[in-house]
Amino acid sequence: MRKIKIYDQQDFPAYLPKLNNLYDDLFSGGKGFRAALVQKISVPLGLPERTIDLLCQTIEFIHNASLLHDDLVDRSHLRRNKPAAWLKYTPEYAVLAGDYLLARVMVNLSSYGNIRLIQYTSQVISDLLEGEWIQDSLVRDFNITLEQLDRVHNLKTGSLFKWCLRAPFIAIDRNEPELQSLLEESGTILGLLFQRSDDLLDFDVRNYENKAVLGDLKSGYLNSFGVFLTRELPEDRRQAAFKSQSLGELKSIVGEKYFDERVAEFDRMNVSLIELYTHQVKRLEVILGDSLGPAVARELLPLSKPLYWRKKDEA
Amino acid sequence: MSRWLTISRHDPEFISYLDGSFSRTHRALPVRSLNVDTTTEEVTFQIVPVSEIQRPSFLKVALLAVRAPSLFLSAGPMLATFFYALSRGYEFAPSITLSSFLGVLAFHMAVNLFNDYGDHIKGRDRVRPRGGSRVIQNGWAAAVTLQRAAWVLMAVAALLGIPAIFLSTSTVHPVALIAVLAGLVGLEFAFQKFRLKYRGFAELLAFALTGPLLCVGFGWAMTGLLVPDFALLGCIYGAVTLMYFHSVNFENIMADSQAGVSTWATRLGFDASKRVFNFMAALTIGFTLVFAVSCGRDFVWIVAVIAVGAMMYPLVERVRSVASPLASSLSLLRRNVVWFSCATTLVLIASFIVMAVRGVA
Repeated sequence: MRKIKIYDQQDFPAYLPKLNNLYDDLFSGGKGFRAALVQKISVPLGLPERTIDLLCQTIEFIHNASLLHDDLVDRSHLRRNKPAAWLKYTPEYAVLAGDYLLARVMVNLSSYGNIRLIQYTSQVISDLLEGEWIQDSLVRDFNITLEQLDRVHNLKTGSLFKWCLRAPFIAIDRNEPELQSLLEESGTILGLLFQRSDDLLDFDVRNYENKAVLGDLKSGYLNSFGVFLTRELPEDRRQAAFKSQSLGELKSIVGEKYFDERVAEFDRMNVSLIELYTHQVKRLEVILGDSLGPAVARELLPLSKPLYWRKKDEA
Repeated sequence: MSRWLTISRHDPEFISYLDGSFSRTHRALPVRSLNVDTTTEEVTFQIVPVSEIQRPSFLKVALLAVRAPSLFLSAGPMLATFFYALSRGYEFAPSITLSSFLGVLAFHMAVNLFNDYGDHIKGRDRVRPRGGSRVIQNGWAAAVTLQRAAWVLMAVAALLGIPAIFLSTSTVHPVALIAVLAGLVGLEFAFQKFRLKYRGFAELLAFALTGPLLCVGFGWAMTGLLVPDFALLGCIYGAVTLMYFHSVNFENIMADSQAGVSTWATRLGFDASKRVFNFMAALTIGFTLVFAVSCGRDFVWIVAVIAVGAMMYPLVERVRSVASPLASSLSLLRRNVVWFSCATTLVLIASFIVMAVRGVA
């Protein structure tokens, strides 16, 4: 896969050194997963390199803008093992830098001239912000259900995955409702799988990247696995679990065996989601026909497993 | 072992998958959608063997399907009317009273079942996740089974209504008129032919149907008399039903807004919906107060009104503290309103009994 440069200092005003420094920090160390996903779809569709670059840059700009805002809202101190931008450069600069990225997205896309793409991208940005807003309003709500969280995650995480799948097709004017709807549903599933897997990391399950553990719970946010783990516990144990300060303490409250059983059950539930994703991609293959279908499906089919299981060799 | 199947609405077999009649051994569970703009031309099903579905006991499924707690919204007004009539010394026909009571309950259950069936067939349950009993969506019963049960209950309701209409001594036609009117409104709720439920009329119709109309109709069938107090009593319950409906719509404000569904909650917005709920709460207490005054200025009624107000306080407080359209406290609101209705009925009945015993009535 071609290496795409998402961020270049020359793309931003040289007379704003602090902004450039902030972006230097922000864009270094990111995996660029969403840009890679856009590339996977765009190449079989035969999109010109310039358009692919634009789409990759767009999704990474939106994603990184959301991280700048997200870290401030959540008061997260670390991003990619470095101090979060709001801590290092002040909250005001973090907000401005995030806004600036979103503005650049619109400038770049409008110069490309596809009005549907601009409209859809604006919708995705507003969904993202809506999700962030609602998620913040759910802090300390320990009776939240998985279905309610899915709604938030569909806005917050799913919207970007949906964009990755839909935008390349919009760029080539493939706007048929059936196709776009199928891509939308597939993106939703990828978003949910990614988010649920991310939520498991918080409980140190398949945490190969050594991310901080129990951060969500300690900050009062019950994530999807937290809901799944505690929803059938007696009320007194649930309340005790919510107050856990370490994973060891949590496991001693819910029971180590019970914890492992719930992880296995959670995985089974998500395997079903992976099967649904596979079904949707096969439908996509049929809709796209012989010329495009197999190539796109070949790229999309293997995605769900590494996304959820986190390691390619477990896929 | 389950499999996935996507089928077009134009496919001749589509409806058989949707209503569950395609197989005796498998259920077709439509995949929930978080995207309201999902094309409605095709539906994806998970085809699951019935043997693999973990189902609660038949009784529990039946109670869930008819949404047993919500039945109190019709049972409560009838019980209150019955005890009020009793405390006032009205003569009544026990068999007609019992058959009318059971008939209304059967009708209410049928409406609930038809409603679930209709929402399922029209795909509304795919985007409005918290609606209905979830019995069909969980694969515990096929949609067609609920539809058949609804027709049976409707027939039972009609049979039980016959004594009230034909055997009642003096008021055959008015009771029949109320029954037919209630039946039509109930059927509109179930089948949503005119989509009144989503045009903002649902609350008003429900107010009449489970409030003054029900109490007057039931009281009329029971005693053969048209008593204005029955209507006043019904207004209390109509206001409670307003709260119930509004809490359901408030609970779904986000999904409905995204889907472009028009309800009082989506039209008013989040904060105004809170105020409307409080207004409905005030209306309930107001009607209780008016009814109490009409019953006589006795200390029993002062206690009763204070009790109703005290029971209302946690509801208002819960609504006040709701900070998010997805807050869990919002999803518990409708259940709390039903409990409030139960408790209010007990307070009213206790008041009627005390009044009768003391000879104040």
